[in-house]
Amino acid sequence: MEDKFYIEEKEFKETIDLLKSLPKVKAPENFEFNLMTKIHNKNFKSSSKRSVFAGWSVYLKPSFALVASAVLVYFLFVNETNDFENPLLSQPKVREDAAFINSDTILMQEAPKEEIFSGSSENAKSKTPKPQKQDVYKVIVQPNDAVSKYKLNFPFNDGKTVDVDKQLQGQGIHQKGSKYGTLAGGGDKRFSFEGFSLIEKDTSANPDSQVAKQDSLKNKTSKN
Amino acid sequence: MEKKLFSLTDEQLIKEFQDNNTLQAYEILVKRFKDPLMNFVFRFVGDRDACTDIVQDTMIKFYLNKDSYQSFAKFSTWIYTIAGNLAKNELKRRKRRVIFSLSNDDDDRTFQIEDRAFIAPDRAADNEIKNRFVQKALLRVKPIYREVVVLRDVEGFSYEEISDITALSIGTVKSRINRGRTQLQKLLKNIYSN
Repeated sequence: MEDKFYIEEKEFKETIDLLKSLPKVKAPENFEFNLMTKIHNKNFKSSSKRSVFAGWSVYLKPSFALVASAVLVYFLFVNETNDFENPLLSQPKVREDAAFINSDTILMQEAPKEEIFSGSSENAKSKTPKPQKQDVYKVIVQPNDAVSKYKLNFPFNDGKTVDVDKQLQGQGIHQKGSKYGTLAGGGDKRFSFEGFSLIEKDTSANPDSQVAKQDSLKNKTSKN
Repeated sequence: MEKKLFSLTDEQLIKEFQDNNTLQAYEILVKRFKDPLMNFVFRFVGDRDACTDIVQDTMIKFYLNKDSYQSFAKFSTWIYTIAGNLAKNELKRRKRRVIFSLSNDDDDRTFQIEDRAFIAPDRAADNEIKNRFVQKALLRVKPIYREVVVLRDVEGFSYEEISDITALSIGTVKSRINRGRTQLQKLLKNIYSN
């Protein structure tokens, strides 16, 4: 075994000789003085530069970069729509579809189709149709006289909606079932104020009042 | 008293320092080992400033932890173990710095060897230049091999002593020395022809 390593050492003789011929490096002259000064002053802090996070830098740096990019992405893209307004100073929120309403916009409420009853009037009375949800249409007359009409979803929650006319007349504002509507600022703060909606009354009972308006609309439509 | 201390062996001096806290015994040991340690650490790490700091830290650790030395071990292997560990820590720290450094202006650049130097061996005629090439070639050897090669061929330790210093088996030490020498020989082949 020893012979084997002796042979190997002969094989590397030139390399070993080169290494042995290297000059010996000596400590600086003030080495001992500096060392003893440190010891007398009890300054045992490591001489080599080392930060507190030196050992953790491998993990901290990539994770810090990840967090920083996540925050950046959040503020650039996700947080774009967030407007922090003072709710006390800002105007009431205007609904998008309400904003369309101008002098040339008419909200029409289609009457529920009457059911055709056969038989006696008593039967008819007993089979009085239950009130149905009425469809609301928005008719918009554009500046170029183009008329468009499309169905609107009823804008507000029925349970929260208040009939202002009834309220002013001193009638109850009882809506559907056990739900109660509340006027904004009326003392009951259960619901937030969402806006106003103009609803035309059911005109099926008095169609003459709408004749002029419908004629006008027909004329405009035929022009187009 | 001091004359008497000078005549003591390393092990006797550390014993004196441990038992009586004799600072002179410590100073004598520092005098004896500062240059060999500087040489070992410089050949291992390759940076003179860092090397001075490492040897200073080694001596401070020796001062603070004198009681952890046990008399059945050789003092030289104990102090070389401390220095070797600190040197390895420094190399690890440098490696991290190289990976994460944005401005790549560290001293590690000096670890690179110009291949041209090996193609034109006439440049290596001068002893000083040759020594520099040998040192640079040494620094290109993997640290696990470099450490044992330096301990064996530069510091002249026996395989057993290297085994004690590095806490490796003698077989591993011999194998690593062999591999280290092979790597070094390949790097230095153009110098031999000169």
